[in-house]
Amino acid sequence: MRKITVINQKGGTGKTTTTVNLGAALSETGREVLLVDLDPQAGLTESLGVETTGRATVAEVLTREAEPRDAFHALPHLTILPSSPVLAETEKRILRERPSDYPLALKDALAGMRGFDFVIVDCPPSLGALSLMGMVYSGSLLIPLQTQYMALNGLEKILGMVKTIREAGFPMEILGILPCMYDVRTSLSRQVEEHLRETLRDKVFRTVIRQSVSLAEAPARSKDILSYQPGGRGAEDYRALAQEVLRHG
Amino acid sequence: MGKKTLIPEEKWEGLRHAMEEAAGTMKTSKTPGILPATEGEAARPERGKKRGAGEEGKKESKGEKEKEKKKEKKEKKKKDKKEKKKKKGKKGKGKKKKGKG
Repeated sequence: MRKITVINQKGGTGKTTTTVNLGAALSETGREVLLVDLDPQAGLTESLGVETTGRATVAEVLTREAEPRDAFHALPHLTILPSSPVLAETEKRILRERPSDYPLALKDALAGMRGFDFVIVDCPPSLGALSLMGMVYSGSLLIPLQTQYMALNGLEKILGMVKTIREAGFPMEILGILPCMYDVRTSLSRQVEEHLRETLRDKVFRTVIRQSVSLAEAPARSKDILSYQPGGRGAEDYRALAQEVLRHG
Repeated sequence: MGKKTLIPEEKWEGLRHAMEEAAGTMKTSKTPGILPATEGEAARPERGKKRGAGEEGKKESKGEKEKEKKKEKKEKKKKDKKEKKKKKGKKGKGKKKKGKG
């Protein structure tokens, strides 16, 4: 079972879009995929139209009040462990109850889980306790990055955190940095992508997620891009990313 | 005209450095012995020895000797005083007038 955590403390970089659509593209290749929504804003849960009222979510799984299987929500091609705003309170509770080993909360909660080829975790836009749980769970990070100047500052911070976590004894690899919202018309996008490859070489995915209106429209229809516009460039880009991830092993 | 650079070179250098550290490929000088000793470290005492166990320690030992000498002097003075009192006491008894009866 391959585990990937999609992380970037900056909001609007394409974390949720990447989680949903990479999951869908991997599922299209016949893999069993579980998506974990670790964001109290529940963007991933909402974008797939999952209703959580009266149902267990990742919050109850983290506190061991529910078994993961009881909280899973099966969609036609994907399975999701949904989130809800309650998760914000749960985060504080876990910090109180497990001050010394809270980063292991998700790893402990999902230990022994079987039946999936890929688990993709969508983190909140922060480098707080929930993100740390997500990072420690998978030990493998996919960092979506807008091809803009300000995004580079955020990337340095994430890399600093990765170093800290590794030094604390948790295995951690950077699966890759994914240039997102790439606008071919702007020289800034081109320069950022070019320099990213020159600087970070094999740590940057060959795939670039180009800016696309349909990628923004799909969640409004509670669909992933492969269902919403299977022939569009958004679907094409995420299929290419899935192939790269599969090659990575 | 040359290509206009929108992001300064230092920014990329910082990122390269951060990535090397994050990926664990950076040759850091954290291994003991590689770091050159700074002034502070050079002044740091060896393990097991108290700070200032050298000259300061000697000063402390000198001070202790002086204190002991003072104590001895005080004790001698006390003894002398006691002896004098005893002698005085004997004289006093002798001076007491005998009773009428």
